[in-house]
Amino acid sequence: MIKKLMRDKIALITLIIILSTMLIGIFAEEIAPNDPNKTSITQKYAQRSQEFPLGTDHLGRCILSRLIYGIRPTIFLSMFTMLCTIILGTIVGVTAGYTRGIVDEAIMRIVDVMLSFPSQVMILAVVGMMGVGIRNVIIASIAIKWAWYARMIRSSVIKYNDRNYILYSKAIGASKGFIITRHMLPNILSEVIVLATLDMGWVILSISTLSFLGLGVQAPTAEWGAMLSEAKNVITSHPKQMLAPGFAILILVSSFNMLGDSLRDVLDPKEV
Amino acid sequence: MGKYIIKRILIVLPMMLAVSFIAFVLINLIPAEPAEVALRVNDIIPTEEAIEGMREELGLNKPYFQRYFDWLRNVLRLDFGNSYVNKNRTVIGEISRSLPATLELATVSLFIVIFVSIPIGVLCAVFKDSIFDRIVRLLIFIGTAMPNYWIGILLIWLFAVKLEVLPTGGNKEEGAIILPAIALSLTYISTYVRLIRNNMLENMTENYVFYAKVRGLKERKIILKHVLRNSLQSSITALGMSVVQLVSGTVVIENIFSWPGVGRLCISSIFNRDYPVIQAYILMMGILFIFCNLIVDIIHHKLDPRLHEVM
Repeated sequence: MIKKLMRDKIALITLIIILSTMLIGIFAEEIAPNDPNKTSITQKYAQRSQEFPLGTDHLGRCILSRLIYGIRPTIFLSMFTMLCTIILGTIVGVTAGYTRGIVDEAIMRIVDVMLSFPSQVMILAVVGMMGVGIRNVIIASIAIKWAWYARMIRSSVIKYNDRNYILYSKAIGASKGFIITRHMLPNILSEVIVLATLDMGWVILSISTLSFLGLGVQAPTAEWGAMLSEAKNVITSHPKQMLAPGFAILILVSSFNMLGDSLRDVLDPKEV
Repeated sequence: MGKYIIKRILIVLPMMLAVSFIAFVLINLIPAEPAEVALRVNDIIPTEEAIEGMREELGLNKPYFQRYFDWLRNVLRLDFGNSYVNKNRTVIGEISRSLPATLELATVSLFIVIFVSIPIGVLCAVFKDSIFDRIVRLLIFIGTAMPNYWIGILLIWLFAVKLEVLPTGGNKEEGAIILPAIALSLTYISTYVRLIRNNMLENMTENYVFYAKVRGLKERKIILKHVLRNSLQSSITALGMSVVQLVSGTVVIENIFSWPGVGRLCISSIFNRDYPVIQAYILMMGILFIFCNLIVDIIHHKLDPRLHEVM
C-alpha cells in the first residue's frame, strides 16, 4: 500500500509538504529567525529584509516567525482533535456494532441526533456556554465529530462480523478483546485513516475560523486565523499583511484534502 | 400521500421537544453560577445576598424539571426573558431586531448559489473533461480549501479598498449586501457545482438515457428534460439542508462585514456571556433546522412518485 502511494506523485508531494510543515513546527525555536512575540514599535510594518524575511506586523513582530510558530496550534491541535475524535468514535462504534441489541439502538439514536444538528451551531453552543478559549473549541469539535466516526466504524464492524475468519475465531473461543483488536481494528483502520485525513482540512479551517473570530487561540499566541484577524484591522493601510497566513492555510488544507483523495483511491480502487 | 405528510409532521413535535431540552440543558452546564454571571455583567459585586436575590429573580432555586417546564411555557409565548447585559431589553426583541438582516443575507446568497451552481454544474457534466470543466474543478478545489473569512477580507480589499466601488460593511449603504452575499455563497457554490456535476454524470449512465438515445431523441432534450430533472431531485435534499447552514454560516461573514444580523449578536453574546441570548439562538437554529428538513422531505416526496409506495 505504501509502495502504491509512493507511485502517486500528488500524494508524495502533499505528504512531503505536510511532514515538512510539521517538522518546521516542531523545531520552531531553531528555525524561526526572531522571537514571534517580541514587539518593537520602531520596526512597525517593516518591509522585507534580511532580518525580517516577510516583514513585520502592526506591533513590529516578525511575520515569518509568527507563521512558523503558528504551525503548532494549527497542525498539532487539529491532530490532537482528530485523534480524540477517532478514539472516542472507535470505542462507541465498536461497542455499538459488536453488542448490537438495545445498547446499539440507544447509541445510534444519540448519534443520529448529533449528526442532524448543524455543526457550526453546535460549536457555537458549546463555546458559548463553556466560555471562550481553544480548549473549549477542541472539546466542541470533538463533540460534533465523533458521531461520524462512530457510525462509520459501527457499520464496518457489522460488515466484518460475519466474515469467515471472525466466525472461526469465535468458534475456537477467542476472547472478544482479541477479536476486536487483532481482526476488526486493522481492517477498519484504513477507512478511518482516509476519513481522518479528509477531515483534517475541515478541523484546521474550523479552528482557524474560531480563532479569527476571537473565540479560539487567544492573543498574543501566534495562530494563522488570529493573524488574519489582526491583518483585517489594517486592511486599508497595509493590505499585504493578510497574504502570508491566508496562503499558509490554503496550502496546508489543500494538501490534506489531496492526500485524503489519493489515499482513498489507493485503498479502494473501485470507487474512483 | 396525505398519510405520509401527517406522519412526518407528527414527528416534528418530539424533535422540537428534544431540541428545546438540549438548549435548556446546555445553559445549565455553564461552569459559572448563572446568577453570579448576571450580577457581574451589570457590575454588581456578587455578595451572598445578591446572588440569593438573583437566584430568586431568575427562578434558579426551583427543581430542575420544574424550571424546564416553566422555561418551556415562557418560550412557547416567545418569552425568553431579558438579556443579561441590557436588563431592559428582551431577548426576543434583540433577536427579532437582527433576524431580518440575516434572513436577507441568507436569501440573497441562496439565490446566488442556485443561479450560479446549476448552470455551471450542468455545463461541467455536459462538457466533461473539457478545459472549462477542468478550470471549474480547479476553482472548486481551491474554494473548499480556502477559509471563507479570508475570501471575505480579500473581497473587501479588492472591491472596497482598491476599487472603491462597494462599501466595506454595514447594511445602510446601497450595494452593501453584494460582498457579504458573494463571500457567503462561494463555499456553497463549490459544494453544489460538484454535487450537481456528479449527479448528472451518474444519471447519464442510466438505462433510461441510453433508451432515449436509441429512440433518437436530441441530446439537448435528453439532458434538459430527463437527466437534469432527475439530478435536481437528489440535489434538493442537500439544498434544503444548506438553508440552515447558510443561516448559521452567516456568523463569520456577518462579523467580517459588520452586518447587523443574528450571527453578530450571537458572537457578541458569547463574549459578553449573555446566556439567554445564546440559548435563544441555539433553540431558533434547531427549530429552523427541523422545519427545513420537514419542507425538504415533503417536496422531495411530492416530486418523486417512486417514494410513494415505500412510505
